[in-house]
Amino acid sequence: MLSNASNVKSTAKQMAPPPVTEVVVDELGDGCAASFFEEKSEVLGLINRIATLTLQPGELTPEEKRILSEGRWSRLPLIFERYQEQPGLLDPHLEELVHAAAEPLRTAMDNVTGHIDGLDALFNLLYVLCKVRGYKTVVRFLTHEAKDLEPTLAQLRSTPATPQYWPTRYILLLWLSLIVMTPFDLATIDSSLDIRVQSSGQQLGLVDTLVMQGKQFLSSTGKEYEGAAILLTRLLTRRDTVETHLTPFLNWCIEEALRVHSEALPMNVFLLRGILYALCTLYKLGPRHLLLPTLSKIIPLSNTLAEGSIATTNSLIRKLIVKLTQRIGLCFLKPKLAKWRYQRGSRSLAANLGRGPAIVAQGGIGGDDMDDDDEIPEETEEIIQMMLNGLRDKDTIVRWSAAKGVGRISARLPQEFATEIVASVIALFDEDTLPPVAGSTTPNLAAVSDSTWHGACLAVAELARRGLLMPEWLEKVVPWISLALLFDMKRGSHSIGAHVRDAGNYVCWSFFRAYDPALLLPHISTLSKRLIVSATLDREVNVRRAASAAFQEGVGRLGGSGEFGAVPNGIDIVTIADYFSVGNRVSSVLEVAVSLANYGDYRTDIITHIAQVMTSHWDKAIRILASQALYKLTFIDLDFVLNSVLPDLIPRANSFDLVVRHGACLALGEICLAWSQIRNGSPRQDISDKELTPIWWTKDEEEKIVKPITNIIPTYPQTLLDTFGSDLTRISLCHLIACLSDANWPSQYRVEYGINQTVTYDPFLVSWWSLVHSTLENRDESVQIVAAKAMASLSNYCWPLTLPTQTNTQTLIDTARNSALLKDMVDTICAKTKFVKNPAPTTRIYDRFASTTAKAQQGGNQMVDRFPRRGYALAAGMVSKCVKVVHGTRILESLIALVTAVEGGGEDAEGRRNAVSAIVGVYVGLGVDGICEVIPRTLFTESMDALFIGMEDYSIDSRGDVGSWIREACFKAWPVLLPLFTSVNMAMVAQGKDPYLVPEISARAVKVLLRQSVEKIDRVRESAGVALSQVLNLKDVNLGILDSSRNLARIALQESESGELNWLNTADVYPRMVKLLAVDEFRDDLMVGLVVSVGGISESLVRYSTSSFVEFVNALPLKSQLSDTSLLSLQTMLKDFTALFSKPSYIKDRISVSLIEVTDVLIGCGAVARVVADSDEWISTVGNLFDVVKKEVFKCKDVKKVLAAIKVFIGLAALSGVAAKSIRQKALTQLVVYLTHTYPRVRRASSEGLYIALTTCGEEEQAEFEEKMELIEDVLLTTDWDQPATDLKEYRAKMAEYLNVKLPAVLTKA
Amino acid sequence: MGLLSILRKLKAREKEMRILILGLDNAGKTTILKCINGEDTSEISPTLGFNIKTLEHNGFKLNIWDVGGQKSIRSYWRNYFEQTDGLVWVVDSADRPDRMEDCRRELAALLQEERLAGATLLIFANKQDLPSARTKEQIAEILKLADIQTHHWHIESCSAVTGDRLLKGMDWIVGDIADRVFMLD
Repeated sequence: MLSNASNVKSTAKQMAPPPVTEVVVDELGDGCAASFFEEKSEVLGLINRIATLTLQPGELTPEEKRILSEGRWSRLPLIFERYQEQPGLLDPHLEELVHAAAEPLRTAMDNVTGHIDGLDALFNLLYVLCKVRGYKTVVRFLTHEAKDLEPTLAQLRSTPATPQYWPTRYILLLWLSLIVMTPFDLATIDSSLDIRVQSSGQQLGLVDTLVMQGKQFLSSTGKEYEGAAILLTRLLTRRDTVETHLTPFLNWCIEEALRVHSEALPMNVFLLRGILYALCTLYKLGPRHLLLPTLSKIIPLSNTLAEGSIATTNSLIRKLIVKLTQRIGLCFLKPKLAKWRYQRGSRSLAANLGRGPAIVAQGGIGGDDMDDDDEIPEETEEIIQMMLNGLRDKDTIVRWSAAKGVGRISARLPQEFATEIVASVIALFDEDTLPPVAGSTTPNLAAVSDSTWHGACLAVAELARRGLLMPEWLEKVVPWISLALLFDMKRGSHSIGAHVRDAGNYVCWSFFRAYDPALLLPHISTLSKRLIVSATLDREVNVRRAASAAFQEGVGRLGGSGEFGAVPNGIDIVTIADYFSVGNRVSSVLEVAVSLANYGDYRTDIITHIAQVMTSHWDKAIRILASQALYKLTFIDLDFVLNSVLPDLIPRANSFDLVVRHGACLALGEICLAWSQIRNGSPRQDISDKELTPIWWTKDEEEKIVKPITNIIPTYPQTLLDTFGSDLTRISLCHLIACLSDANWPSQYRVEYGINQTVTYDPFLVSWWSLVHSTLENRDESVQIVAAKAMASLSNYCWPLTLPTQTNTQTLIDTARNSALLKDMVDTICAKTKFVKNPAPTTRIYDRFASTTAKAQQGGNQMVDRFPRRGYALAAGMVSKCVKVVHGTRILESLIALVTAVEGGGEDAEGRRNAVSAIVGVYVGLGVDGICEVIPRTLFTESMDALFIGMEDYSIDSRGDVGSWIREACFKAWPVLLPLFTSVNMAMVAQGKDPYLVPEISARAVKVLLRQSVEKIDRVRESAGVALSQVLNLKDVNLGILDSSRNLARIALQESESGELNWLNTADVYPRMVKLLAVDEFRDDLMVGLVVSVGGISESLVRYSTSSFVEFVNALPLKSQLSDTSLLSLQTMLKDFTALFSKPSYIKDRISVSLIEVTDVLIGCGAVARVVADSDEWISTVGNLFDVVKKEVFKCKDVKKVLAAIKVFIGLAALSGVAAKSIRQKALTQLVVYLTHTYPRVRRASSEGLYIALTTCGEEEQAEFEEKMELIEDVLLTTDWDQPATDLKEYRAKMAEYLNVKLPAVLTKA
Repeated sequence: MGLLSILRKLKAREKEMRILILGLDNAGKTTILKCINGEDTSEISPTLGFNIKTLEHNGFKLNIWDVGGQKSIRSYWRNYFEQTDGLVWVVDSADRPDRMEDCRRELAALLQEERLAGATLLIFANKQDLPSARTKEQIAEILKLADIQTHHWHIESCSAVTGDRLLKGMDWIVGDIADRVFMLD
C-alpha cells in the first residue's frame, strides 16, 4: 500500500510544472545561453512542418511529400543520432521537442477516431528521441491528462498491425503507461461502463481492455513488448487495480510461460521474452506485500525455465531469467543497506563548510548488524546459487546481470551470509586451475573458462564498489586480479580473453575508488605495474584505454593521500600514457611503452612482458611489433636484455612451435643489431653511417651469447624449413641473418683470402648463404623480398669495401675478386636469372638448405624455374657495392638478357619487372665512380635499350596487363638514372672521354613517358605521370630536341588550382595533357597514348579524354597561318593522325581498334566535315583516312574492329558537299559490300548503317536517290539479313543498282 | 560490456557528478578542495599532479578533480571515459594584470574542448580576503564572461582561506548540473 501511495504521489509531482532549467539570477547576470544542441531551431521547424503537413486534409503535392519523407526518414533521425554518445546535451530542450511532436498528436487523436495515416512520422520522431535519450526521460514530457486515456487507447487499437507502424505502437504503449498513473480512479473515466450497462456486460471494462491489449503486445516481436510490460506494470500497481488485477495477471504469466516452456516452439520465444520482461518490471515496482505470496510460484517457474531448451539456446531469455531471479531474491529480503559494509569516509560538503550535521565518521567498517536477526528465507540459498551460475554463463549480458544481482542481494544480507557469497565468487577464479607448471609460481590457467573469470571479475568489482568486499579479502583477491589483467588464452590460431582483461581493469578502478589508500598500499605496486603493461602493450585498444583510465583513477585517489609516491611516477605516466596516446597500437608499443621503460619501476615488467608474451603472440603483427620494441628497449637497458632476455630467447629460436620460433628469431636479430650499435657508440644510427670497431663484444659474451646465436642456423632442423610454416620460418631466419650481418657479427674468417693465401671462411657462413639462396627460390614474393634483403646485408658483411681492420679498398676488392664463394654466388645469379630451355643441374658449394622439392625439380621445367629467376633477379640489384664492382658487368648482362628475352622470358612478367629494378639497383649501387670504372659503353647502351624495350611491354596473361608492372618499373628508373648518368657524363668529360648518356636517350624516355601518361590504366598513368614531372624538373639533364619545349610541359602539368596534379583523376589529367598536342615534338607520342584512352572502355576515362580531345580539335584553326607557321592547324593534325595507321606493328596492333574508334570521333565532332567543306585541296587527306581504315579491316576477322570501321563508313557516307562525292561513293560501296559479309552481325550493322547514312546526309545528296528511296527502304528494312550470305546476293545487287555503285569485280564473280 | 559502458551506466545510476577544479597556478584550487573536504588548509604546496576527492552534497556524489595548474593539464581530463559535468575555474582576484589576461585566454581555450561540451561552469573569484582583490564584476569583465554562449556559467566571489561563499558557489554548480543531468529523479 505504501509504495502504491508513493507511486501516486510521484504522479502528482509530475503534474506540477517540470523544474525550470533557468538559473536564478542573483546580483550579477548569469550566463545561461543555449548549450551545444546546435540544430535546435532547424529541428523545431522541421517538426512543425511535418506536423502541419501530416495533419492537413487532402492530397500532398510531390514537393510536400519530398519534404515530409526527407524530414522524417533522413534529416531528423540523423540529427538526433549525432547525440547518441552525449544525450545529456539534448536535455535542456527535450521538453520543447517532445511537446512539439506530442501536442499535434494529441489534438489529432482527440478529434478523430480510428487510425490516422501520417501520424507515424511524429511517432517515429518520439521513438528516435527515446532511442537517444532513454524512454524514461522522454516519456515524462508526454501529456498525462486522464481524458487522454481513451483516445490514446483507441488510437493504439486502430493502428494497423503492419511492421512499419511499430514505433507508433511502442510510443502509444509508453504514453498509456504514463496516463494510467493518473491519480483519479480509473472507473470514473471509463466511458465503457455506460455501454456495459446498456449492453448487458458484453463489453470489457477499461482496465480489462488495457490488460488485454498489454498481454497481446507482450508477444510482439518488435520493441512493443517493452512498452506493453511498462504499461502493465504501471496499470497493475495502481491502488485501485492492484488488489483485483495483479494476481490474475501473474497467474496468467505463469501459465503461459509454462505452456511455452513445455511446447518449446521457436515462435513462442517472443511471448516468453515479453512475459519475463513484464515480470521483471513488476517485481521491481510492485508492492512487496502483494508479491510475497506469489513468490512460491515464481521461483519454481524460473528454475524450470532455466533448464528449458529455449533458455539454453537463447541468451536474452537466460538474462531475463537471471534478472527475474534477482528481483525475486530482492523481494524476499527487506530493502535495506547492510550496516556492516565497508565505507571509505564519505564526507558531506555542506558539513565541512560548517552547515548541517557533523562530519561522518572517517573510513572503516560500519556498525554491527544488530537488527539483522530477520529470518533469511531458505529460498535465498537457491537464488544465490542461480546468480553464481549466471556468472559462468557463456554470454556477457547474462554474466553482467548476475554480477549486479550478486551485489544487490549481498547488500541486504547479514555479514556471515554475504561473506559466504564473496568466498564463492572468489572461488570461481580457482575453478579448473591446474597446478603451476614447473618453474612457475602462478597457477596454470590453461583449463579455466574465460567466461567464468569474466563473470567473477564483474562480481568482485560490483561487491567492492558497494563496500561489500571487506578489506581483509583484498589479499586473496589481488593475485587473481593481477592474473586477470593479463589473461590471454590460446584458442587455435587466435586467443581470447580481452573481455577478462577489460573486467580486470574495472576491478582495479573500483578498488581505487572504494578503499582507503592505506589499505591498497601493499598491492599498489603489483597492480600499477600490471596496469601499465596492459595500458601500453595490450593488443586491443579498449583494454589499453580501460587500463589507462584505471591507472589514472589510482593516481588520482592514492597519489593524493599525502605521499606522492604511492603510485610510482604516477603523475608523469598519466600524462604520457593517456587516452589518446594509447589509442594507436604501434605508437603505444613503440613510443609510449618505450618511454615508460625509462622509469625504473616499470622497465622490467615492460621488457619482460614483451620478450615473454608478445614475441610468442598468435598475431604475427604483434610479434613483429615486439621485435621492433625490443630493438628500442635494448638501448634503454642493455644489461637486462643481455642477461635476462637473450638467454631465454635463444633456445626458442628453433622451437617446434612456429609462432614461438618466428617471434624469437625476429627478436634476436633486432636485439643483436641494437647491441652492436650501442657498443659501437652510435645509438640509433643507420648502420651504413658508422665506424665499426673491430671488437665490440666481451670474452664472456662470446661464450654465452655470441656462439649460441651463431650456431642457430648451422644447426637448424631441416624439417622446420620444409614443412608447413616454413615460409614464416625462413622469413624470420633471413631477417636474423640480415640483422646479424648489419651488426657486423663476430666471426673469425669472414673475408676469404686470395688464392695464394689460405682459402678459408667460417663454416657458419656456408649455412647462412645456403639459407639465403634456398629462400630466394621460394614461391612467395614476400619471402623472396626478405631473402633479397638478407642477401644484400650478407654480401656487404662478407665483401665490404671498408673494414675496421682493413682500410685498403683495393685489397678488399682483390680479395673479393679471388673469392670462390662469391664467384659461385654470381654464377648462381646469372644462371638462375637466365632462361635456359633445359638447364643442366648445377652443383654449388652450399646446398644444405635447398628444399627437397627444389632439388627434385631441377629438370628445367619453365614453371618451376621462374620462381628462382624472380628471386635472384630481385636480389641481383641489392648486392654490396664491392660485389658490383667485381662482377657488375656479368650481373648486368644476365639482367639485360632477362628483360629482353623474347623466348622463354616472355611469360615471366615478375621476373622481368624485378630485373628492371635490379638494373637500376646495380647502377645506383655502383655510383658515379663505379660506373666510370666498370661499365663499358656497349653495356650501357644495351642497358638503355633494355629499359626502352621494357617500356613497350604490353604482355597480357590471365591476370590482365602484366606488362604494366614492367613498364612501371621502367618509368621509375628514369628520374633516378638520368641525374646519375648526367654526373657520370661530367666525370667522363673530366677524364677526357666521350659521355655515355646522349640527349637522344633522355628525349626518347620523355616521349615514352609522355605517351604513357595519358594511357588508360589509372595506376600506370600515375607512375608515368609522376616520373614525367620528375624528369622534366631535372634541370641538369639535357633533353635534346625536347629541351626547348620542356617548360611548356612543366607549366601544363603544374598550373592547377588544387596544387599538385592528381594523375589518377581523369578530369584533371586530360584537359591539361591535351594542350601539349600543340607541341610538334610531343604530338606523335601523345596521340598514340590518347587514342588508347579515347577508344577505351571505362566510362569516366572515355568521357574526359574524349571531351578534352574534341574540344582541342574543334578549337584548332583550319589552316596554318602564314604569320605563324608553328601554330598547329586542323589539317596538320588530321594528317598526323592518319600517319598513326602506319606505325610499326608492335605499336599499331595494340591500338588499331582504338584508332578506328577515334576516327569516328573525329568525324562525329565535325572536324572531317570542316576540312572537306573548306576546299578540294585537302580532300585527299580525308581520302587517305578512308583508305587506311579500309586497309585496316581488310580480311579482318575481328568483329569489333569491323563494326568500328562501319561506323566510320557511315560517317563518311553522310558527308555533304560536291568535294566529298568520291569519298561518299567509296564509303557507300564499302557498306554495300558488307551486306554479304561472312558475319551476320556485320551484315545487319551495314544495312542499318546504309539507312542511317542515306537519311542523315544533306538535302542535295538525298535528292539524288529520292525516286528510289522507297525501293531502297524496302530492301534495307524488310530483308532478313541473318539468312545465309549466298541468299543475300540479289539484294546486294539491287542496292548497288539503286545507289549507283560499282561492286568490286571479284565479289560479283563470287 | 566494456569498462566504458559500465562507467557510463554507473555514473547515471549512482547520481555521480564529475567536477574539475581548474585555473592558473597559485589560484587556490587545492586550498578550495581541501577547505570543502574539511582538511587543514594552513599548509599547501604546489600540486604536482592531481587529487580526486569524493564528497556528498544534496544527495549527489561529487567526484572532484583538482588538477595541478603548472603543467599541461589536458591529458587529465581528456584521458577519461566519463563525461565531465562541471568545471570550477578558480581565479586569483588579486593577480597581476598580465596574468589575468593569461587567465582569460586559458579559460576561452578550455571551453573550446569537445570533451567539455555542455559542462556547467562556475568561476570562483578567489582570495577576496586580500585587500587588493578585484570584485567579481571586474573579473567577469576581464574574463569576458558575457561572451560565453556555450556553457551555463556563474561567478561567485569567495575566499578559500576563510571558506566564505564557497558553499554558495558549490550549491549553484551542483544545482545546475542536477537540473541538466538528473532533472527527472
